[in-house]
Amino acid sequence: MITLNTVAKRYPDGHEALRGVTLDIEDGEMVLVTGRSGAGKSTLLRLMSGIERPTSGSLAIHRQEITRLSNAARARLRRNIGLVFQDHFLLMDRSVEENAALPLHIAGLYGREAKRRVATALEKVGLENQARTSPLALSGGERQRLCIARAIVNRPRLVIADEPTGHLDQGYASVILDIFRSFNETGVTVIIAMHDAAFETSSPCRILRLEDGLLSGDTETASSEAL
Amino acid sequence: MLGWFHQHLTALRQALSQFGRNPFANLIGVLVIAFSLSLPAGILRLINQAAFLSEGTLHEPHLTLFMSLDADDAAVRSVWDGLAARTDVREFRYISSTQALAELKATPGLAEAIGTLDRNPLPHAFVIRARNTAPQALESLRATLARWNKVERVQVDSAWAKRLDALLQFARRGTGGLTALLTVALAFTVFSTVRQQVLAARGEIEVTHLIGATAGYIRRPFLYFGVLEGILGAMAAWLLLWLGRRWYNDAIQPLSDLFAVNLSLAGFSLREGMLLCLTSAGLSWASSYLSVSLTLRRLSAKR
Repeated sequence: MITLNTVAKRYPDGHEALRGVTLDIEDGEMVLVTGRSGAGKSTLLRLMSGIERPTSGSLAIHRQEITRLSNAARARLRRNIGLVFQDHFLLMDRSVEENAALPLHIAGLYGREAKRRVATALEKVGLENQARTSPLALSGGERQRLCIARAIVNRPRLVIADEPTGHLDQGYASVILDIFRSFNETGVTVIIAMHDAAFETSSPCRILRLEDGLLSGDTETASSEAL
Repeated sequence: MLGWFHQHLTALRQALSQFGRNPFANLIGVLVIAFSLSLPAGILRLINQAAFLSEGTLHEPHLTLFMSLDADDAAVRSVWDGLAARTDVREFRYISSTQALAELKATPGLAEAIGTLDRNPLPHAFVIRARNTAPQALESLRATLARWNKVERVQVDSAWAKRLDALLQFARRGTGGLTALLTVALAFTVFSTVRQQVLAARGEIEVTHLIGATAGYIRRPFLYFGVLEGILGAMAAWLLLWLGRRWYNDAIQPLSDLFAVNLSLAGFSLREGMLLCLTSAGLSWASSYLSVSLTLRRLSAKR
Protein backbone atom coordinates (compact mmCIF):
# COMPACT_ATOMS: atom_id res chain seq x y z
CA MET A 1 0.00 0.00 0.00
CA ILE A 2 2.78 2.45 0.97
CA THR A 3 6.39 1.99 -0.10
CA LEU A 4 9.21 4.31 0.97
CA ASN A 5 12.67 3.88 -0.49
CA THR A 6 15.48 5.97 1.05
CA VAL A 7 13.10 8.87 1.54
CA ALA A 8 14.62 12.12 2.79
CA LYS A 9 12.95 15.44 3.53
CA ARG A 10 14.81 18.70 3.93
CA TYR A 11 12.87 21.92 4.52
CA PRO A 12 13.83 25.26 2.97
CA ASP A 13 15.29 26.42 6.32
CA GLY A 14 17.83 23.57 6.08
CA HIS A 15 16.21 21.35 8.71
CA GLU A 16 16.56 17.69 7.72
CA ALA A 17 13.39 16.06 9.07
CA LEU A 18 13.87 12.61 7.50
CA ARG A 19 17.08 10.91 6.40
CA GLY A 20 16.85 7.87 4.13
CA VAL A 21 13.80 6.07 5.50
CA THR A 22 12.94 2.79 3.80
CA LEU A 23 9.85 0.76 4.70
CA ASP A 24 6.73 -0.97 3.37
CA ILE A 25 3.28 -0.85 4.89
CA GLU A 26 0.84 -3.51 3.75
CA ASP A 27 -2.95 -3.41 3.45
CA GLY A 28 -4.80 -3.85 6.74
CA GLU A 29 -1.83 -3.11 9.02
CA MET A 30 -2.12 -1.17 12.27
CA VAL A 31 1.04 0.92 12.53
CA LEU A 32 2.16 3.14 15.38
CA VAL A 33 4.88 5.68 14.60
CA THR A 34 6.67 6.72 17.78
CA GLY A 35 9.51 8.97 18.71
CA ARG A 36 10.32 12.17 20.55
CA SER A 37 9.21 15.59 19.44
CA GLY A 38 11.12 16.56 16.31
CA ALA A 39 11.99 12.95 15.47
CA GLY A 40 10.24 13.30 12.10
CA LYS A 41 6.89 11.58 12.86
CA SER A 42 4.69 14.35 11.47
CA THR A 43 6.89 14.76 8.40
CA LEU A 44 6.68 11.03 7.71
CA LEU A 45 2.88 11.15 7.98
CA ARG A 46 2.63 14.24 5.77
CA LEU A 47 4.69 12.47 3.14
CA MET A 48 2.67 9.25 3.43
CA SER A 49 -0.56 11.21 3.01
CA GLY A 50 0.70 13.07 -0.07
CA ILE A 51 0.58 16.49 1.55
CA GLU A 52 4.29 16.99 0.93
CA ARG A 53 6.80 15.57 -1.53
CA PRO A 54 10.09 13.98 -0.43
CA THR A 55 13.28 15.87 -1.23
CA SER A 56 14.89 12.64 -2.42
CA GLY A 57 14.05 8.95 -2.61
CA SER A 58 10.82 7.42 -3.84
CA LEU A 59 7.45 7.11 -2.16
CA ALA A 60 4.47 5.25 -3.61
CA ILE A 61 0.95 5.36 -2.19
CA HIS A 62 -1.61 2.97 -3.67
CA ARG A 63 1.13 2.23 -6.28
CA GLN A 64 1.27 5.87 -7.35
CA GLU A 65 4.70 7.48 -7.16
CA ILE A 66 4.16 10.70 -5.23
CA THR A 67 7.13 12.55 -6.72
CA ARG A 68 5.65 12.23 -10.21
CA LEU A 69 2.15 13.42 -9.34
CA SER A 70 0.93 16.97 -9.99
CA ASN A 71 -0.52 19.03 -7.12
CA ALA A 72 -4.06 18.31 -8.35
CA ALA A 73 -3.36 14.56 -8.62
CA ARG A 74 -1.93 14.52 -5.07
CA ALA A 75 -5.05 16.36 -3.87
CA ARG A 76 -7.26 13.73 -5.51
CA LEU A 77 -5.14 10.99 -3.96
CA ARG A 78 -5.75 12.48 -0.49
CA ARG A 79 -9.50 12.03 -0.99
CA ASN A 80 -8.90 8.29 -0.56
CA ILE A 81 -6.96 8.78 2.67
CA GLY A 82 -8.64 9.59 5.97
CA LEU A 83 -6.59 12.23 7.76
CA VAL A 84 -6.85 13.03 11.47
CA PHE A 85 -4.89 15.89 12.98
CA GLN A 86 -3.95 16.75 16.55
CA ASP A 87 -5.34 20.26 16.05
CA HIS A 88 -8.60 18.96 14.54
CA PHE A 89 -8.69 21.53 11.69
CA LEU A 90 -12.46 21.88 11.95
CA LEU A 91 -14.53 24.68 10.44
CA MET A 92 -16.09 26.40 13.42
CA ASP A 93 -18.67 28.31 11.36
CA ARG A 94 -20.19 25.06 10.08
CA SER A 95 -22.24 22.46 11.92
CA VAL A 96 -20.90 19.06 12.97
CA GLU A 97 -22.57 17.33 10.03
CA GLU A 98 -21.33 19.97 7.57
CA ASN A 99 -17.79 19.39 8.81
CA ALA A 100 -18.17 15.65 8.44
CA ALA A 101 -19.61 16.06 4.93
CA LEU A 102 -16.75 18.22 3.66
CA PRO A 103 -14.66 15.39 2.07
CA LEU A 104 -17.78 14.12 0.30
CA HIS A 105 -18.53 17.56 -1.12
CA ILE A 106 -14.92 17.93 -2.27
CA ALA A 107 -15.29 14.56 -4.03
CA GLY A 108 -18.54 15.80 -5.60
CA LEU A 109 -20.95 13.64 -3.57
CA TYR A 110 -24.10 15.40 -2.39
CA GLY A 111 -27.72 14.48 -1.66
CA ARG A 112 -29.18 11.45 0.11
CA GLU A 113 -26.11 9.22 -0.25
CA ALA A 114 -23.93 11.94 1.30
CA LYS A 115 -26.38 12.40 4.19
CA ARG A 116 -26.48 8.65 4.78
CA ARG A 117 -22.68 8.41 4.86
CA VAL A 118 -22.40 11.37 7.24
CA ALA A 119 -24.97 9.82 9.58
CA THR A 120 -23.09 6.50 9.54
CA ALA A 121 -19.74 8.18 10.21
CA LEU A 122 -21.14 10.25 13.10
CA GLU A 123 -22.77 7.15 14.54
CA LYS A 124 -19.47 5.28 14.44
CA VAL A 125 -17.84 7.93 16.61
CA GLY A 126 -20.88 8.48 18.84
CA LEU A 127 -21.79 11.98 17.67
CA GLU A 128 -25.09 11.17 15.97
CA ASN A 129 -27.05 13.28 18.46
CA GLN A 130 -24.91 16.38 17.92
CA ALA A 131 -25.09 16.53 14.13
CA ARG A 132 -26.70 19.98 14.03
CA THR A 133 -24.60 21.61 16.76
CA SER A 134 -21.52 23.75 16.24
CA PRO A 135 -18.07 22.25 16.84
CA LEU A 136 -17.60 25.11 19.32
CA ALA A 137 -20.08 23.36 21.61
CA LEU A 138 -18.02 20.13 21.60
CA SER A 139 -15.34 19.09 24.10
CA GLY A 140 -11.76 18.38 22.94
CA GLY A 141 -12.42 14.65 22.77
CA GLU A 142 -15.67 15.14 20.86
CA ARG A 143 -13.91 17.42 18.37
CA GLN A 144 -11.33 14.71 17.82
CA ARG A 145 -14.12 12.22 17.23
CA LEU A 146 -15.65 14.61 14.69
CA CYS A 147 -12.27 14.81 13.01
CA ILE A 148 -12.26 11.01 12.82
CA ALA A 149 -15.80 10.97 11.42
CA ARG A 150 -14.67 13.39 8.70
CA ALA A 151 -11.69 11.14 7.97
CA ILE A 152 -13.77 7.98 7.50
CA VAL A 153 -16.83 9.45 5.77
CA ASN A 154 -15.32 8.77 2.33
CA ARG A 155 -14.74 5.11 3.34
CA PRO A 156 -10.97 5.25 2.88
CA ARG A 157 -8.79 2.12 2.86
CA LEU A 158 -6.10 4.10 4.68
CA VAL A 159 -6.42 6.31 7.78
CA ILE A 160 -3.49 8.41 8.95
CA ALA A 161 -3.66 10.16 12.32
CA ASP A 162 -1.04 12.59 13.61
CA GLU A 163 -1.03 12.47 17.42
CA PRO A 164 -4.82 12.20 17.67
CA THR A 165 -4.72 11.90 21.44
CA GLY A 166 -2.16 14.65 22.02
CA HIS A 167 -4.59 17.06 23.71
CA LEU A 168 -6.66 14.42 25.50
CA ASP A 169 -6.50 12.85 28.93
CA GLN A 170 -5.62 9.15 29.19
CA GLY A 171 -9.25 8.02 29.54
CA TYR A 172 -10.42 9.80 26.44
CA ALA A 173 -7.28 8.81 24.53
CA SER A 174 -8.21 5.13 25.03
CA VAL A 175 -11.67 5.80 23.59
CA ILE A 176 -10.15 7.41 20.50
CA LEU A 177 -7.64 4.60 20.03
CA ASP A 178 -10.42 2.01 20.41
CA ILE A 179 -12.20 3.71 17.51
CA PHE A 180 -9.08 3.37 15.37
CA ARG A 181 -8.72 -0.29 16.39
CA SER A 182 -12.30 -0.96 15.33
CA PHE A 183 -11.57 0.50 11.89
CA ASN A 184 -8.47 -1.63 11.60
CA GLU A 185 -10.50 -4.74 12.44
CA THR A 186 -12.63 -4.05 9.36
CA GLY A 187 -9.51 -4.16 7.14
CA VAL A 188 -8.66 -0.46 7.07
CA THR A 189 -4.94 0.34 7.24
CA VAL A 190 -4.34 2.65 10.19
CA ILE A 191 -1.16 4.65 10.79
CA ILE A 192 -0.96 6.67 13.99
CA ALA A 193 1.87 8.91 15.19
CA MET A 194 2.26 8.97 18.99
CA HIS A 195 4.68 10.42 21.53
CA ASP A 196 6.93 8.09 23.48
CA ALA A 197 4.20 7.65 26.09
CA ALA A 198 3.11 4.34 27.52
CA PHE A 199 0.44 2.90 25.31
CA GLU A 200 -1.42 -0.29 26.06
CA THR A 201 -2.12 -2.34 22.96
CA SER A 202 -5.07 -4.67 23.11
CA SER A 203 -4.42 -6.01 19.62
CA PRO A 204 -1.25 -6.73 17.65
CA CYS A 205 0.30 -3.78 15.89
CA ARG A 206 3.51 -2.72 14.19
CA ILE A 207 5.62 -0.07 15.83
CA LEU A 208 7.99 2.16 13.91
CA ARG A 209 10.42 4.18 16.00
CA LEU A 210 11.99 7.34 14.62
CA GLU A 211 15.05 9.10 16.02
CA ASP A 212 16.46 12.27 14.46
CA GLY A 213 14.86 11.52 11.11
CA LEU A 214 16.09 7.94 10.98
CA LEU A 215 14.07 4.74 11.35
CA SER A 216 15.61 3.19 14.47
CA GLY A 217 13.09 0.44 15.14
CA ASP A 218 10.48 -1.62 13.32
CA THR A 219 8.82 -4.21 15.56
CA GLU A 220 5.60 -6.17 15.88
CA THR A 221 3.85 -6.30 19.28
CA ALA A 222 1.47 -8.89 20.62
CA SER A 223 -1.69 -7.75 22.48
CA SER A 224 -1.54 -6.11 25.94
CA GLU A 225 2.06 -5.02 25.63
CA ALA A 226 3.35 -1.71 26.82
CA LEU A 227 5.49 0.42 24.53
CA MET B 1 -22.34 15.70 -13.51
CA LEU B 2 -24.77 16.28 -10.64
CA GLY B 3 -21.83 16.49 -8.25
CA TRP B 4 -20.17 19.09 -10.47
CA PHE B 5 -23.40 21.12 -10.53
CA HIS B 6 -23.72 20.88 -6.72
CA GLN B 7 -20.09 22.00 -6.28
CA HIS B 8 -20.73 25.09 -8.40
CA LEU B 9 -24.01 25.78 -6.60
CA THR B 10 -22.24 25.53 -3.24
CA ALA B 11 -19.47 27.86 -4.46
CA LEU B 12 -22.08 30.36 -5.63
CA ARG B 13 -23.87 30.14 -2.28
CA GLN B 14 -20.57 30.74 -0.46
CA ALA B 15 -19.84 33.74 -2.67
CA LEU B 16 -23.28 35.21 -1.98
CA SER B 17 -22.88 34.71 1.76
CA GLN B 18 -19.57 36.61 1.54
CA PHE B 19 -21.53 39.67 0.42
CA GLY B 20 -23.75 39.38 3.48
CA ARG B 21 -20.80 39.02 5.85
CA ASN B 22 -19.18 42.35 5.01
CA PRO B 23 -21.87 44.42 3.31
CA PHE B 24 -20.29 47.88 3.72
CA ALA B 25 -16.86 46.99 2.32
CA ASN B 26 -18.46 45.06 -0.53
CA LEU B 27 -20.79 47.96 -1.33
CA ILE B 28 -17.78 50.28 -1.56
CA GLY B 29 -16.13 47.80 -3.94
CA VAL B 30 -19.25 47.66 -6.11
CA LEU B 31 -19.44 51.47 -6.20
CA VAL B 32 -15.77 51.81 -7.20
CA ILE B 33 -16.42 49.41 -10.09
CA ALA B 34 -19.59 51.30 -11.00
CA PHE B 35 -17.74 54.64 -11.22
CA SER B 36 -14.83 53.03 -13.06
CA LEU B 37 -17.23 51.78 -15.72
CA SER B 38 -19.76 54.60 -15.91
CA LEU B 39 -17.28 57.46 -16.20
CA PRO B 40 -15.59 56.40 -19.48
CA ALA B 41 -18.83 54.94 -20.85
CA GLY B 42 -20.67 58.23 -20.18
CA ILE B 43 -17.90 60.41 -21.61
CA LEU B 44 -17.66 58.24 -24.74
CA ARG B 45 -21.41 58.53 -25.21
CA LEU B 46 -21.14 62.35 -25.01
CA ILE B 47 -18.25 62.41 -27.50
CA ASN B 48 -20.08 60.18 -29.95
CA GLN B 49 -23.16 62.39 -29.65
CA ALA B 50 -21.02 65.48 -30.37
CA ALA B 51 -19.44 63.72 -33.37
CA PHE B 52 -22.85 62.76 -34.68
CA LEU B 53 -24.05 66.34 -34.39
CA SER B 54 -20.88 67.71 -35.98
CA GLU B 55 -21.33 65.39 -38.97
CA GLY B 56 -24.99 66.19 -39.43
CA THR B 57 -27.34 68.62 -37.89
CA LEU B 58 -25.24 71.53 -36.72
CA HIS B 59 -23.20 72.71 -39.64
CA GLU B 60 -23.55 70.42 -42.68
CA PRO B 61 -20.22 71.26 -44.34
CA HIS B 62 -20.47 72.11 -48.01
CA LEU B 63 -18.32 73.19 -50.98
CA THR B 64 -18.71 76.30 -53.09
CA LEU B 65 -17.51 76.04 -56.68
CA PHE B 66 -16.74 79.36 -58.43
CA MET B 67 -16.43 79.33 -62.20
CA SER B 68 -14.05 81.60 -64.10
CA LEU B 69 -15.49 84.93 -65.25
CA ASP B 70 -15.29 83.95 -68.90
CA ALA B 71 -17.25 80.71 -68.40
CA ASP B 72 -20.14 80.50 -70.86
CA ASP B 73 -23.41 78.57 -70.65
CA ALA B 74 -21.81 75.47 -72.22
CA ALA B 75 -19.14 75.40 -69.47
CA VAL B 76 -21.85 75.80 -66.81
CA ARG B 77 -23.87 72.97 -68.43
CA SER B 78 -20.76 70.77 -68.43
CA VAL B 79 -20.14 71.34 -64.70
CA TRP B 80 -23.85 70.79 -63.95
CA ASP B 81 -23.81 67.45 -65.80
CA GLY B 82 -20.55 66.47 -64.14
CA LEU B 83 -21.94 67.12 -60.65
CA ALA B 84 -25.20 65.33 -61.43
CA ALA B 85 -23.25 62.24 -62.51
CA ARG B 86 -21.16 62.03 -59.35
CA THR B 87 -22.31 59.57 -56.67
CA ASP B 88 -20.38 61.38 -53.91
CA VAL B 89 -22.46 64.56 -54.44
CA ARG B 90 -25.70 64.47 -52.51
CA GLU B 91 -27.20 67.68 -53.91
CA PHE B 92 -26.11 70.94 -55.48
CA ARG B 93 -27.58 74.34 -56.19
CA TYR B 94 -26.61 76.59 -59.08
CA ILE B 95 -26.34 80.34 -58.49
CA SER B 96 -25.86 82.30 -61.69
CA SER B 97 -23.79 85.49 -61.66
CA THR B 98 -26.97 87.50 -62.37
CA GLN B 99 -28.80 85.86 -59.44
CA ALA B 100 -25.82 86.44 -57.16
CA LEU B 101 -25.68 90.10 -58.15
CA ALA B 102 -29.41 90.48 -57.54
CA GLU B 103 -29.03 88.92 -54.08
CA LEU B 104 -26.13 91.26 -53.36
CA LYS B 105 -28.13 94.27 -54.46
CA ALA B 106 -30.86 93.27 -52.05
CA THR B 107 -28.38 93.65 -49.21
CA PRO B 108 -29.06 97.01 -47.51
CA GLY B 109 -26.33 99.60 -48.17
CA LEU B 110 -24.74 97.70 -51.05
CA ALA B 111 -27.26 98.48 -53.81
CA GLU B 112 -25.86 101.94 -54.54
CA ALA B 113 -22.24 100.78 -54.64
CA ILE B 114 -23.09 97.90 -56.95
CA GLY B 115 -25.05 100.26 -59.21
CA THR B 116 -21.84 102.12 -60.04
CA LEU B 117 -20.22 98.99 -61.54
CA ASP B 118 -20.10 98.88 -65.33
CA ARG B 119 -20.22 95.10 -65.46
CA ASN B 120 -21.10 92.12 -63.20
CA PRO B 121 -17.93 91.12 -61.32
CA LEU B 122 -19.45 87.93 -59.83
CA PRO B 123 -18.86 84.47 -61.28
CA HIS B 124 -21.37 81.66 -61.71
CA ALA B 125 -21.29 79.38 -58.67
CA PHE B 126 -22.47 76.02 -57.39
CA VAL B 127 -23.15 75.22 -53.72
CA ILE B 128 -22.49 71.50 -53.30
CA ARG B 129 -23.42 69.17 -50.47
CA ALA B 130 -21.35 65.97 -50.39
CA ARG B 131 -22.64 62.57 -49.38
CA ASN B 132 -19.65 61.98 -47.09
CA THR B 133 -18.96 65.01 -44.90
CA ALA B 134 -15.77 63.72 -43.29
CA PRO B 135 -12.99 66.34 -43.71
CA GLN B 136 -10.79 64.00 -45.78
CA ALA B 137 -13.65 63.15 -48.16
CA LEU B 138 -14.54 66.82 -48.61
CA GLU B 139 -10.92 67.71 -49.34
CA SER B 140 -10.65 64.94 -51.93
CA LEU B 141 -13.84 66.12 -53.69
CA ARG B 142 -12.60 69.71 -53.62
CA ALA B 143 -9.31 68.75 -55.28
CA THR B 144 -11.14 66.82 -58.02
CA LEU B 145 -13.61 69.60 -58.82
CA ALA B 146 -10.86 72.25 -58.84
CA ARG B 147 -9.26 70.48 -61.83
CA TRP B 148 -12.39 70.78 -63.97
CA ASN B 149 -12.45 73.08 -67.03
CA LYS B 150 -13.40 76.72 -66.39
CA VAL B 151 -13.45 76.20 -62.64
CA GLU B 152 -11.64 79.06 -60.93
CA ARG B 153 -11.78 77.92 -57.30
CA VAL B 154 -13.50 75.40 -55.04
CA GLN B 155 -13.86 76.34 -51.40
CA VAL B 156 -14.56 73.88 -48.60
CA ASP B 157 -16.58 75.23 -45.74
CA SER B 158 -15.07 72.74 -43.30
CA ALA B 159 -12.59 74.63 -41.18
CA TRP B 160 -14.97 74.51 -38.26
CA ALA B 161 -15.62 70.82 -38.90
CA LYS B 162 -11.87 70.14 -38.97
CA ARG B 163 -11.37 71.89 -35.65
CA LEU B 164 -14.23 70.03 -34.03
CA ASP B 165 -13.05 66.74 -35.49
CA ALA B 166 -9.55 67.32 -34.11
CA LEU B 167 -11.05 68.18 -30.74
CA LEU B 168 -13.16 65.03 -30.76
CA GLN B 169 -10.18 62.89 -31.75
CA PHE B 170 -8.25 64.35 -28.83
CA ALA B 171 -11.19 63.75 -26.48
CA ARG B 172 -11.45 60.16 -27.69
CA ARG B 173 -7.77 59.57 -27.01
CA GLY B 174 -8.11 61.16 -23.59
CA THR B 175 -11.08 58.94 -22.84
CA GLY B 176 -9.09 55.92 -24.04
CA GLY B 177 -6.41 56.76 -21.49
CA LEU B 178 -9.01 57.34 -18.79
CA THR B 179 -10.66 54.01 -19.65
CA ALA B 180 -7.32 52.20 -19.32
CA LEU B 181 -6.70 53.84 -15.94
CA LEU B 182 -10.17 53.04 -14.64
CA THR B 183 -9.91 49.46 -15.93
CA VAL B 184 -6.80 49.09 -13.78
CA ALA B 185 -8.78 50.58 -10.87
CA LEU B 186 -11.56 48.01 -11.43
CA ALA B 187 -9.10 45.13 -11.64
CA PHE B 188 -7.26 46.34 -8.55
CA THR B 189 -10.51 46.70 -6.56
CA VAL B 190 -11.57 43.12 -7.32
CA PHE B 191 -8.00 41.85 -6.77
CA SER B 192 -7.82 43.52 -3.37
CA THR B 193 -11.28 42.44 -2.19
CA VAL B 194 -10.70 38.83 -3.22
CA ARG B 195 -7.25 38.82 -1.60
CA GLN B 196 -8.75 39.99 1.70
CA GLN B 197 -11.27 37.19 1.51
CA VAL B 198 -8.68 34.55 0.71
CA LEU B 199 -6.63 35.68 3.70
CA ALA B 200 -9.72 35.66 5.94
CA ALA B 201 -10.57 32.12 4.78
CA ARG B 202 -7.00 30.89 5.28
CA GLY B 203 -8.05 28.31 7.88
CA GLU B 204 -10.78 26.87 5.72
CA ILE B 205 -8.47 26.76 2.70
CA GLU B 206 -5.89 24.87 4.76
CA VAL B 207 -8.47 22.30 5.87
CA THR B 208 -9.98 21.71 2.44
CA HIS B 209 -6.51 21.50 0.89
CA LEU B 210 -5.45 18.87 3.42
CA ILE B 211 -8.47 16.67 2.84
CA GLY B 212 -8.18 16.63 -0.92
CA ALA B 213 -9.44 19.87 -2.44
CA THR B 214 -7.70 20.83 -5.68
CA ALA B 215 -6.68 24.43 -6.36
CA GLY B 216 -9.67 24.66 -8.73
CA TYR B 217 -12.08 23.69 -5.95
CA ILE B 218 -10.52 26.18 -3.52
CA ARG B 219 -10.50 28.94 -6.14
CA ARG B 220 -14.11 28.52 -7.23
CA PRO B 221 -16.06 30.49 -4.55
CA PHE B 222 -13.61 33.40 -4.85
CA LEU B 223 -14.02 33.48 -8.62
CA TYR B 224 -17.78 33.51 -8.21
CA PHE B 225 -17.45 36.35 -5.73
CA GLY B 226 -15.27 38.38 -8.11
CA VAL B 227 -17.62 37.85 -11.05
CA LEU B 228 -20.66 38.71 -8.92
CA GLU B 229 -18.97 41.89 -7.71
CA GLY B 230 -18.14 42.79 -11.33
CA ILE B 231 -21.70 42.19 -12.53
CA LEU B 232 -23.19 44.15 -9.62
CA GLY B 233 -20.73 46.97 -10.35
CA ALA B 234 -21.76 46.97 -14.03
CA MET B 235 -25.44 47.07 -13.08
CA ALA B 236 -24.79 49.97 -10.73
CA ALA B 237 -22.86 51.68 -13.55
CA TRP B 238 -25.84 51.16 -15.85
CA LEU B 239 -28.08 52.78 -13.24
CA LEU B 240 -25.65 55.71 -12.85
CA LEU B 241 -25.56 56.21 -16.63
CA TRP B 242 -29.35 56.18 -16.77
CA LEU B 243 -29.55 58.77 -13.99
CA GLY B 244 -26.80 60.86 -15.62
CA ARG B 245 -28.59 60.76 -18.98
CA ARG B 246 -31.85 61.91 -17.40
CA TRP B 247 -30.09 64.80 -15.69
CA TYR B 248 -28.26 65.79 -18.90
CA ASN B 249 -31.36 65.59 -21.08
CA ASP B 250 -33.34 67.75 -18.65
CA ALA B 251 -30.51 70.32 -18.58
CA ILE B 252 -29.99 70.38 -22.38
CA GLN B 253 -33.69 70.66 -23.31
CA PRO B 254 -33.86 74.51 -23.29
CA LEU B 255 -30.76 74.64 -25.53
CA SER B 256 -32.27 72.08 -27.90
CA ASP B 257 -35.44 74.16 -28.15
CA LEU B 258 -33.40 77.33 -28.80
CA PHE B 259 -31.43 75.83 -31.73
CA ALA B 260 -34.29 73.60 -32.91
CA VAL B 261 -31.85 70.70 -32.80
CA ASN B 262 -32.20 67.44 -30.90
CA LEU B 263 -29.26 67.53 -28.48
CA SER B 264 -30.57 64.88 -26.07
CA LEU B 265 -28.51 61.77 -25.35
CA ALA B 266 -29.77 58.35 -26.37
CA GLY B 267 -29.97 55.77 -23.57
CA PHE B 268 -27.90 52.59 -23.35
CA SER B 269 -29.58 49.73 -25.17
CA LEU B 270 -30.06 46.30 -23.58
CA ARG B 271 -27.26 45.00 -25.81
CA GLU B 272 -24.88 47.74 -24.64
CA GLY B 273 -25.85 47.07 -21.03
CA MET B 274 -25.21 43.36 -21.44
CA LEU B 275 -21.86 44.13 -23.05
CA LEU B 276 -20.98 46.33 -20.07
CA CYS B 277 -21.91 43.49 -17.66
CA LEU B 278 -19.96 40.90 -19.68
CA THR B 279 -16.88 43.11 -19.90
CA SER B 280 -16.97 43.79 -16.18
CA ALA B 281 -17.58 40.11 -15.35
CA GLY B 282 -14.68 39.04 -17.58
CA LEU B 283 -12.29 41.58 -16.10
CA SER B 284 -13.36 40.69 -12.57
CA TRP B 285 -12.94 36.97 -13.26
CA ALA B 286 -9.39 37.48 -14.56
CA SER B 287 -8.56 39.75 -11.65
CA SER B 288 -9.91 37.39 -8.99
CA TYR B 289 -8.20 34.40 -10.65
CA LEU B 290 -4.88 36.22 -10.46
CA SER B 291 -5.54 37.36 -6.89
CA VAL B 292 -6.57 33.98 -5.50
CA SER B 293 -3.77 32.13 -7.37
CA LEU B 294 -1.05 34.49 -6.12
CA THR B 295 -2.39 34.48 -2.55
CA LEU B 296 -2.70 30.65 -2.52
CA ARG B 297 0.83 30.32 -3.82
CA ARG B 298 2.07 32.61 -1.06
CA LEU B 299 0.10 30.67 1.58
CA SER B 300 1.37 27.29 0.38
CA ALA B 301 4.93 28.62 0.37
CA LYS B 302 4.50 29.45 4.07
CA ARG B 303 3.29 25.90 4.87
